[in-house]
Amino acid sequence: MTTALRRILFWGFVTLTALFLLVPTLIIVPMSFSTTPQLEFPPVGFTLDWYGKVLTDTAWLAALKNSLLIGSATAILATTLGTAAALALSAAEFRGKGVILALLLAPMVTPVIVLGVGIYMVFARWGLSGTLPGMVAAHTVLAIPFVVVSVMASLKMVNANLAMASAGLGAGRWFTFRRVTLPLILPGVTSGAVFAFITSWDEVVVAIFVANTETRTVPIMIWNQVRTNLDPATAAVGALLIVLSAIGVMLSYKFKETR
Amino acid sequence: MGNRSARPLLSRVPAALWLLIPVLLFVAVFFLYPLLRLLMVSVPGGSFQFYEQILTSPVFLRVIGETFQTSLVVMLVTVLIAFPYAYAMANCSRTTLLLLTIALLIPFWVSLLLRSFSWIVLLQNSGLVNDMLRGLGLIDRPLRLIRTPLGVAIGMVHVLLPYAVLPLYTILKKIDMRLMEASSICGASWFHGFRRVYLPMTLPGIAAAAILTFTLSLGFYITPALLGSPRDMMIAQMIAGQIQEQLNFGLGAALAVVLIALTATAFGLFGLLQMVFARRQAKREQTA
Amino acid sequence: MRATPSPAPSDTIALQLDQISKHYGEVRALDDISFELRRGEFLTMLGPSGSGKTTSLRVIAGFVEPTSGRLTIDGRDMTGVAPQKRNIGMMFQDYALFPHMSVVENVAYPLEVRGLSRADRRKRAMEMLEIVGLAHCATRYPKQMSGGQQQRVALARALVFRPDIVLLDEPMAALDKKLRSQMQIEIMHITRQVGATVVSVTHDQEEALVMSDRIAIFKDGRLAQIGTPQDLYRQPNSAFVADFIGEANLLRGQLRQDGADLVLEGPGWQARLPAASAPAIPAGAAPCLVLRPERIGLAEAGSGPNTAQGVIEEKIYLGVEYRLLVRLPDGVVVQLRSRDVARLADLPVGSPITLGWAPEDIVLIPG
Repeated sequence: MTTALRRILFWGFVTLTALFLLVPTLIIVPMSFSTTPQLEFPPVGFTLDWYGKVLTDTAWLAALKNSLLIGSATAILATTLGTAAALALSAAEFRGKGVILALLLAPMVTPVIVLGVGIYMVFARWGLSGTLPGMVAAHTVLAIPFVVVSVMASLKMVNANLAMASAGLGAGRWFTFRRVTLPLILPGVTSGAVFAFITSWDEVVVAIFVANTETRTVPIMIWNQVRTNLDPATAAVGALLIVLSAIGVMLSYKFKETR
Repeated sequence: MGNRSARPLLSRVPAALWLLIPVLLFVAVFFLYPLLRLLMVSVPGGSFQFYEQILTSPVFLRVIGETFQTSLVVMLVTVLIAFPYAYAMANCSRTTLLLLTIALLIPFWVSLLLRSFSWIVLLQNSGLVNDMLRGLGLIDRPLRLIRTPLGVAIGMVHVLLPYAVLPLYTILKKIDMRLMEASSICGASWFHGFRRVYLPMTLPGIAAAAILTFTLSLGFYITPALLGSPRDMMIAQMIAGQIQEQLNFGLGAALAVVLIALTATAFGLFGLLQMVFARRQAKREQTA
Repeated sequence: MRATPSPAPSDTIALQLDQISKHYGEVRALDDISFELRRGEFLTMLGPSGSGKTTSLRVIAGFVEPTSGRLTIDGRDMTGVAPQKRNIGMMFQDYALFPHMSVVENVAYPLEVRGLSRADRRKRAMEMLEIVGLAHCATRYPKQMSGGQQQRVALARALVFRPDIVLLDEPMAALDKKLRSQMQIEIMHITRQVGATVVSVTHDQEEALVMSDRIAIFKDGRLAQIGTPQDLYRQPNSAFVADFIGEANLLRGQLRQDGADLVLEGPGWQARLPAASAPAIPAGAAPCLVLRPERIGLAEAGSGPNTAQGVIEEKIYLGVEYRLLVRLPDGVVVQLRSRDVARLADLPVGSPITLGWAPEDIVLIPG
């Protein structure tokens, strides 16, 4: 095989892979403009009706409110807990540190279905099933690892002497954290918070086991829709989600870049 | 004794460690305890009846076998596709790298649920894939893609590709391409150099990508539930079914424990492989 | 180290570059490069970075396809021939040893590629390792060896299959200064011992002088001059070459013919040489005098031919010799080294001084 032929085949394959990655992700947007009630690609015609339908539907709006509420609460809780953990893990060397880190990151590699079922069982006993605090607690468990990883990464780049210098100048711990450490790791904390929000925002498996009709989120609505009937309204919701995710991603990268 | 033991024990713990207590409590209550609860429910009154049932029933064994097989195939296909992609990323211009990274990360950030949803649309009998195949004259009747193991595999590979490409890329970009030049000037064909020089150096990356995709595959729920048929169920669907439909909590919990054990085994294997690689590396670097 | 008999280069042409050019868009990385190499010869391509020497090496290796021109190895046209089919050995700048293969596996790699049996491979690789003095390290891995040892492994890998040409890319760049002079001689000996035809690339003039039969000096993608070290030192054809090889004083002046002699003179100095021994200076070019610092001595006062009048600007005592900077009337500073220690000791900075040189030490170049 000649070099030129090999190059063409290779880059052809890579391009196809890129298309394979992109096409199924992006077709959701054009599908949401289709005038036919049947979902198909390529879409037929152009209408914004589905967006109108979704944005006036009380069930979707309730789900959207739940998603935003749970996502924000998860982001706040996970960021607080995760940042504290990352600070502790970066500040000191102690026995069992590896075990603790592994424990905090474990939810990332645990099959979600297992966690969903486990939480389902204990929440039923504790009366947390179908409640917003229950949803927040479950999502926070899943989000903590992302915050820990993100904040630890940015702590790694902060010169440890700075905190010591601040202490040496007479500042207390809390003052030092607020005025020196936190401003320096803020990009990591922010992108951790964005990650935490998106984790909750996209989460469906655990939510299926915890939520009820009162507390169901947007992903659960989509899940139910997809399993019953495929219509462009779902695609419209999907398109809105994609745009929101894109904004979130851009925000988190922006924060990373400004450091 | 004296002064030293008079010092309160707790003050010897570095102050920073107090910060760990809330998160550890939280994780213990909402992560460890639920898992422990599963374990307890799976052995009611200390009886292993549910595990016995799983290990003796052909239905459950088939699902476990099916899950293994799907994960294995998905892992192989994913790594095979991911390798050229990562190679391209490691050896291209900055602009191309940016494009390839965007193509990789956009799906990464879009919910798995939505992507499964578009695969349903693309793979259905009147979907784009069937239309294209028919347009090319490759088939004359629509191919059944959705609700088949093939559909599930396509959806899973799509979800897992970024997980395979990223670890591969971090290894591949570290490989000095001059080694391939050295190989060719020694007289080796491109293929010989790839096999003898390049590939051996990528093994840690391939191992990482393979184990990661395999372990994640084992626990897949959404994609097989939406793209597969109940006949070729994977273990996660089985668990959900036992809990939600059969209301057989004990059996569901036992299946969950089996799944977690399989995942842990795979990760353990990964750790072992990493150790082997690290030891080999160390052996090559220790000063003789 | 024992001296190895150096087989005189034969008359067979091993390598020929014929009007090789390489353009990257508007940039001319190589512009019309032509030279030949005889079998067994050691040629060094010398020049500042960006001068085209490395590109030339990569053209010879086949990693870069020239835009135009012809490259032949042993008379075979190399156009479109892949690097692996050229039968060239190459030592890379940081050696490019395969990290996952032991030393002997690295050296045997070219033999493995050529389909030799396992036993033959091992035998020949070990012979080669013996030559470079590393037979006792055969089972080690590259990372376990020092820089100098790695270099010898790389050399062994480049030589083991008796390639038609051996290329050395900045061979000393990765070594510390002390090791360099030792390895220069060692590499020269090893390559002569196996009778290899070598093309080396460096920006270090000392390395080029020590190792090479001939040196090709590159400037701005062009070949400035090619010749033996002696030729380049004694008869540079340009100010660039004169300055690049050794130290040189360059004096610009007016040229006139005086009978059988050519006279070049400036304020306070005059050089006179037989017209027959001077190179032709193209009309319009400003003629320039090249004087090596060690070829200038102290002369009797008075302005005869081949003398210069100046004032000592700086005087540095270096034990066996003085290093002097002398300012000529027009402000040009001449550098010289003189062993006339006794006489110079009495001359303080600021004293007038007369310098002189022999007519045969004069080189006239178009400036």
